[in-house]
Amino acid sequence: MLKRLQYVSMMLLMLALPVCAANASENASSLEAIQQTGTCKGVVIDSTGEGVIGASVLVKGTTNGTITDFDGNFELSGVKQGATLVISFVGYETQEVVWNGQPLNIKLKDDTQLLEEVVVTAMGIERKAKSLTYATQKVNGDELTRAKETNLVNSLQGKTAGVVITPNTSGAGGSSKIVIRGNKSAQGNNQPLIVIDGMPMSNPQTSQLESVYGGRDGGDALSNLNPDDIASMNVLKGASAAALYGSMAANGVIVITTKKGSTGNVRADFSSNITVETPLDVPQIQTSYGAAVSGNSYDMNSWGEKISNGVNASKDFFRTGATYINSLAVSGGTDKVQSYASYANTSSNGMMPTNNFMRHNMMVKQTYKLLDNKMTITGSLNYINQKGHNRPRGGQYNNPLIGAYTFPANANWSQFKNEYEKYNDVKQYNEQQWYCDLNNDFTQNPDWILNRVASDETRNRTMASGTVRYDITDFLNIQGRLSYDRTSDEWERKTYASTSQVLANPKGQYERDMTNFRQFYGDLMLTFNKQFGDYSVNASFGTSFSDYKSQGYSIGTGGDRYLPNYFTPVNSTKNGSSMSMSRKRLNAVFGTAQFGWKDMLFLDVTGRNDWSSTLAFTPNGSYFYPSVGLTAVISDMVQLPEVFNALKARATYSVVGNEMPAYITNNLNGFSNGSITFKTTMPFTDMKPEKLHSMELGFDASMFDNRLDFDVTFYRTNNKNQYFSMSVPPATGYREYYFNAGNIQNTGVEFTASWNQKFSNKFSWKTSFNLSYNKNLIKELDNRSGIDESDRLQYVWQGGLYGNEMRLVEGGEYGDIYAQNFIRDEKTGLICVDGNGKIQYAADKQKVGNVNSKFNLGWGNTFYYKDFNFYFLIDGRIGGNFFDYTQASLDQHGVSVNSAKARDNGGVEVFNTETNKVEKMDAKKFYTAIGSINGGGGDYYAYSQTNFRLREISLGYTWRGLFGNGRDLSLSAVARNLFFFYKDCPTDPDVSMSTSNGYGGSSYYSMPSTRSFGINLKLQF
Amino acid sequence: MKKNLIYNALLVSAALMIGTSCTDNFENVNTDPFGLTDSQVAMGDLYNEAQLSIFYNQSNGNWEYQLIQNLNADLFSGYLAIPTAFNGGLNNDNYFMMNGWNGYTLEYMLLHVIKPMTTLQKIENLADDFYAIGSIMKVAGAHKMVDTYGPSPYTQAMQGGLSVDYDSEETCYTAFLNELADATQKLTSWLDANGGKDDASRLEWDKMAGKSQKTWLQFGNTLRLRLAMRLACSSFG
Repeated sequence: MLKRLQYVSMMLLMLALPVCAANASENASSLEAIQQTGTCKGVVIDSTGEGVIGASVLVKGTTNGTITDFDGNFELSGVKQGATLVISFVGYETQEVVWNGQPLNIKLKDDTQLLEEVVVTAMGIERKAKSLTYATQKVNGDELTRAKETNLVNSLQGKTAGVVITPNTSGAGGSSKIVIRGNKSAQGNNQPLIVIDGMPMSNPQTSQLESVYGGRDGGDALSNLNPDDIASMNVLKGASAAALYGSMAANGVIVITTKKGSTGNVRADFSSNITVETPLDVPQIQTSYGAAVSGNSYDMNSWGEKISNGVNASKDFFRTGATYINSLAVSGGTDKVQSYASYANTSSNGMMPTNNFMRHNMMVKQTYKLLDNKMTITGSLNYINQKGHNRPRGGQYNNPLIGAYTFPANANWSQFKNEYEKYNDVKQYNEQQWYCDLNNDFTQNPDWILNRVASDETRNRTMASGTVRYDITDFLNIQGRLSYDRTSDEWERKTYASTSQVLANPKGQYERDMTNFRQFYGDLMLTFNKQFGDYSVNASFGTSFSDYKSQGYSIGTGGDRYLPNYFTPVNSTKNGSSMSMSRKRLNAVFGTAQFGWKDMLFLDVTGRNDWSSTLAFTPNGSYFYPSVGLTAVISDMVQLPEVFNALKARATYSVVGNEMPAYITNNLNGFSNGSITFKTTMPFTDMKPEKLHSMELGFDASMFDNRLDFDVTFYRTNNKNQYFSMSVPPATGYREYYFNAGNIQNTGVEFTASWNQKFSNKFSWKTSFNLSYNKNLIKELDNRSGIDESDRLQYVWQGGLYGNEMRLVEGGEYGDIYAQNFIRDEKTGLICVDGNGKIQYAADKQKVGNVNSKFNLGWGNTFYYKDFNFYFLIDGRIGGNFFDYTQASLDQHGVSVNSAKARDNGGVEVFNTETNKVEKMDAKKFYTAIGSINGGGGDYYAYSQTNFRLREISLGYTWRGLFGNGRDLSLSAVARNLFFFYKDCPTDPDVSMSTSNGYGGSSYYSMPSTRSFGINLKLQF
Repeated sequence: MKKNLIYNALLVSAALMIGTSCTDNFENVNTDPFGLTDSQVAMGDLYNEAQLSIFYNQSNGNWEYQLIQNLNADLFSGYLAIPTAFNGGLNNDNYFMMNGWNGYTLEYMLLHVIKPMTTLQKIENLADDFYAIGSIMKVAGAHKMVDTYGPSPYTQAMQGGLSVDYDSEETCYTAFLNELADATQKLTSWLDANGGKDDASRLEWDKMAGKSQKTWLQFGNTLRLRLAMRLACSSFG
């Protein structure tokens, strides 16, 4: 009777605060028979017998608790006999003990028995870590919040083996590229799937820079989340781990589990973070040579006379950035109802003047257990609102950095900074003021660009999801999930009259892009878990669908303008607007089964069949792919030497299909500027999906009383059936056609090790090291049968920047850069010039570098001394090249320190092949030729990516139990990117201008990386 | 128990909703709603494409015109000259054939004149006068290609595949002259049947010949004369 009343009241108060939940629990406890209350005494010790200081002892379901003293003793009054006590402390497994009236002796176990941990894998299926047949790496929520960044994924840099994170240089709100185990797909997506609480998050490909001239970073999905909402993140690295998610997860999966209300009581977590940012690597600008003067204007290049008192405009340009992140989470619950609600505010002023960014994150999550705990309902709602103003971008057009960096040292910087515009009486509007003719595509007044070519963008994202799980029996349950994820982006830019006429209409320009992405996902899964004597079976079968739609509206002025500075699409003589839409739907049926024998040998089998709409119009619309894995817990099977606590070996092989872009199999004619644009690609009615074959072997071990944990994994993946396009003679009626071919292989090793050393009760040290090595090989490019050698595709062009191209060549690697390279003298290594003083180049383009590093490593250390904690992370990359086109451009325009040094030296040393002597070439002639945007730099600006730096450092103090038991206050000082131990490249090579496949590993007037210092405050009450 | 049944029913219906995810709609999903299918392209659009491409003039296409016309026939015939040493003195004026500049005539005549006209002539039950005007336009563009390059792909073109056989100039010119003979004959018959009068309503798209079939006939015959003159001093002629 009473239970039904509680039932109804809980349903009515669905949206109420956890206060109601607390009330419900009090009602429940008042019904229990009244027990004897008394004082509970005891001692808490660790595995060595030493007392644990400051451990929390709490009566479960109440706020009655205390902490242990210096010997580990505690005394707690008002405890009912038979009540459960919860004892917890950082670094140890939480224990629950029932008090029967006698003094307690509680031995805490170290929290390092990784193999017994339960890990969340694909589809939200939970498995014991010991039974996994593939490599995963778990990252605690704390790792993401120790030194907060506006994009939480950057906090993962250096912490997970095999995961390479490259942020874009577009400031707050920018994307970061995540590549797990190397690039696999030529044209398709190379980033992993993001899964939140079992359901995929929509991560559409937004606008990215794809040319040296410009392009903007539209942002990605992971950067929108609030790191304080995340309980843990599990990286499923191989395709085997992801086989259940199918096509979307060929590149790995990042599984995010969000926090939910804990049972027992209500708590609030508040954290506040202030970070200050300064530029890490501004290019070196010379002040000893000026630009040629003619009348009132100066030349764009600084190849003029030697001067004194030169001014360096770039020193004055950046401001100190500041980021403020505040978040509050309230959570609580009982056994039957758990609630979690949070709000976070991120506000950032970038180093680029006028750049600011603001984000609001709101999340509500409720869990209910009904019908005798047989049914669990979880619902969550997440709303994110983001606004950015003047977010920096790389590229040449409308880039304020160009005006600042290339400002002539002999011109008057303060004049143009203070007065970037002047009123023109005849035209009756303000005109841009600059030191040279404005009708060029290179330099403009930076303050004009920041104020009069300003851009604003907004993102509104709503993610709603619900899960219903019903336990039919104790070994069989059925679960249904639905999620709806909608992102709405808007970007607007107003370009005022007198901006360079090469870039905009003389009377101004208006552009507004609006894009909506909508993903609707649902799945239904039946799970069976049963033990049959020595054998265990854990199996799941299910079906899922994923419906994706994106709509774009590009509105703006076209043709000529009627009025100046009038920003609306009607101010056009021709249409300047367009619409686009893309839709995809994927239906799937999947099954997974894990058979265990005596809890020491496990066999994993999965199978999945996809039906993809992107393969409509072909006979290959349905494709099936399986995977199989085997794991043996050797330490349970044979008697190993004492030092081994656990040893496990695993192997897995899987095939995963990869999704294709929409519309390729059914290309249609277009329409633009008043006439039809007839289709020029042959319809690809035989398209097959990409197939990724991957194989993985590894082992995990714990040794020396669980103080040492390490795991090693070896993998090889082959991505076949890539799709390429090749030009076809126009006489066929088309310009190009598609075909399936290719085999891109990645081979590599991942190694993770950690050591936990407890020097005494008060002092402990934990160190973790991770290392990964990836070798990519384009094993086959055009391996079609029945095609002549001379008709085969020689290379795939993936992108071009500054005269260099990224090409896929058979026998080469993903990310190879080709350029017209110099002929160099063998003995001296100097660049050759001919008798006329012209630099000599080889006839064909050659490989001059590769933008992917070979080794990635990270070493993190945490020290705990009483209530102090100290953490530092050193990470680095070895191998690979970074192309610094900024340096090339600065050299070409004579503003770089190198070009000044060359002039002081009388020129640059080159080798004259006609006289066979070393001679000096005029600095201007040399740098103008090799620094040209149309190429000519060969390998001159290819630097090594090898670098090591102090990535993160933090020192903090915790006041334990300041606000009650288990409620601490922590204060810490943090810094990121403090300094480099070693770096070859003039700028930070761990960044990129774009997440697109063909445009990584380079910079062209990109924002410098940031060195940041901050203070973190966290408290619970 | 009752509650169990209710919940079970809800679950089953949810399962059914998700389960009825069939692939019937896939072709519709994978079709760009803003694309134009071939059936949406009218005859007038095909003619328009060809007529604007014989001297390429679409979407303010100035660089294409420069490469196809100015830097080839106009320059070498002395019709115009270049006042500056542009591109560092490396251009057609100095006979420095820039890589990537001189293939446009071939590509544009094939894809923008020959292709739409071939597509037009494949329409079932196409009226004779339409067919004839299509031939005339096709040859008007195609002969520029043969005159620029010599042997060109013509009779085997527009059939898909990965490569196309080239035809000798003799084969091309023979084909041109045959098609023009056929076209002028069709137009003459049509005009006779129409009482010697033009019908402008059939030629709404026409910007070249003032919507007049008589003018088209004149153009066709003039083109035959031009081609014949080019053969006059050749061994083939």
